Amino acid sequence: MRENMFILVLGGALAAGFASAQDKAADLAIVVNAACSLENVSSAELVKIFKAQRTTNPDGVKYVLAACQTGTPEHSAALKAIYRMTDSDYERYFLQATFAGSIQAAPKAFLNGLSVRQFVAAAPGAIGYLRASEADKSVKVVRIDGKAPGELGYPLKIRGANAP
Amino acid sequence: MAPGISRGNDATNQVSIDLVRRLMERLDRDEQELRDLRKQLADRPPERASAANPSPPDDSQLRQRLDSDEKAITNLNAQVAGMGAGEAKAKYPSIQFHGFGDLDYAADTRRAPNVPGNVGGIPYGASYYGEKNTFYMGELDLFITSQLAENTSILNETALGAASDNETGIDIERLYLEYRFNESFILDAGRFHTSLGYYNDTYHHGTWLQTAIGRPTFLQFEDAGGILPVRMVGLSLHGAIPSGRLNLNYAAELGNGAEYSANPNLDQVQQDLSFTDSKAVNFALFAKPDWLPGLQFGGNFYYDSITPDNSGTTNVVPRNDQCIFGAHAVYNNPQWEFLNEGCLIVDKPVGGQAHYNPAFYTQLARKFGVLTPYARFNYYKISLNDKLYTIDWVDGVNKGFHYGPSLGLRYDFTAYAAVKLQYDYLVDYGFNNASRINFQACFTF
Repeated sequence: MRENMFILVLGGALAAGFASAQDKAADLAIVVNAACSLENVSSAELVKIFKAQRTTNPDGVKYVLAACQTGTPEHSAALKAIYRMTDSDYERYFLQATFAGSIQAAPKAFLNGLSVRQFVAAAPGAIGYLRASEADKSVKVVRIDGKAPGELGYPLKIRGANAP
Repeated sequence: MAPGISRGNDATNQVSIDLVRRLMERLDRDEQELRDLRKQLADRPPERASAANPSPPDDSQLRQRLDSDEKAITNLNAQVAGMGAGEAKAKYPSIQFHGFGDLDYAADTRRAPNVPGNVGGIPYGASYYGEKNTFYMGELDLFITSQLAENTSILNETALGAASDNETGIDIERLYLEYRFNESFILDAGRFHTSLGYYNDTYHHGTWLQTAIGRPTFLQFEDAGGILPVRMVGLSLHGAIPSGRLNLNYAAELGNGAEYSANPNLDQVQQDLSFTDSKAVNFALFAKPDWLPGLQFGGNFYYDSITPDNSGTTNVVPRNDQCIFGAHAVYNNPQWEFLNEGCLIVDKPVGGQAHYNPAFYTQLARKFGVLTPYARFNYYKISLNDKLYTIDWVDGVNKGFHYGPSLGLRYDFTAYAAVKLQYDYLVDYGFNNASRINFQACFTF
């Protein structure tokens, strides 16, 4: 009986751990350059940053937006959770903003999260998104509304994401 | 990347994308091979020594391949990731180029009095009315921005368009140098659109970006019969005001105001010579509150002391103090577009009575996938005694009331091109009421 209980508890813990790992893998992390003092940002502020309506970070350094290319799960997740736009709306939004003179260019588009990570690690002021599992110590993961990727209630999810 | 011309950032990365794709394909193949090799090793049954197979199995070849592949994968991963790091250092100048264009057709039932054929048509919106039905070239709009340093950039918009004499003209529509001290202090010097409200600040010459065909009538460009000084040559200080969730923004502008002249060859935008020493000023304040993304509302105040150019006319117009009070409330998100703007132009001639000229438009559009039906109502009225508007434009074509509804449908048949069909009903002082059909094919590249 005690053996069975032990197996049950162990199984439950493993399942929970696996689920947590899966959750984290399916979360979209917001990362900034390690030197940036930004620790936490509200959902509303995040939208402004990624729509280039906030142009400098708390340290006074100009934000440089790093995005994954159109068609990647990360980009689709950002469109849905941050921009609330379709691909064409996104293109039009940044073209319009460029045309109005409020921004210089659309976010830099990278092939995948690894490239985003490298860019953010190397560029002061850079902010981008990638799979939470791809974040490492070269960049700083920013909390959204006080929550880190993998925590209950974290708002940015990659739908249909597979843990690598 | 060396300084060069590119179309947006996708293009900036275009050179590396193919290479990275190839690397990723190799990576996929190698990872699959690794999985196969590992499986082969794992599935290998225990073999016993025998006469035919006297020694233990030798996996060294497989392990060698495994090691080699893992090394290759590590290198590939580093190369892929390195693509990002390579872009981290900004290079100046970095040039972005976009183009816009449109081709149009228009037909209307307006009868232009004493105007035979296509001669002397009356400026109105995207083209002219009171003419034969016509296919016509819109504008080819060339748009360039260039970041010169982290806080310094330039913006240029140059448009090529055909006029009623069928000649193609070229205009530098916008050209300014911008320096960003911070989010709250951004200084532009050059030729820019006056912050007279939402539409004038948001839309310029690229018709593809605009839902409808043409601008609201009272916001037409000066050289297309417009009644407002929509462009200014001078200085503009603008930026965000720390205001929490209200997100206030401001603009303070100083420059040459518009010129009013009987000379049709004189550009109303005083981009070289100014007729007066006094300068026009404009102040705008607007909010984009957090609590309803897409909402923007605000107002502006414009003042200019106008000394009209009376040369060559007996219709002598005195100096006027012109004040323009504007207000707007718009809600614009990817699905809905609800634009409302109005202004009151007060012209006070020296020693005379003030004239009050109201103008507004309202526009509603809803996007259903690739289709966007829209409706707009335009209105403006210029006092018949306001001589500023009788000196300009074909014996004061703008005087009196002008209003009417427009209904249209926009079809975005591909990401960067659209067609629009629009019906206008035109009521204009001194002319017969008319219907007009417009068609526009517009694009960006």
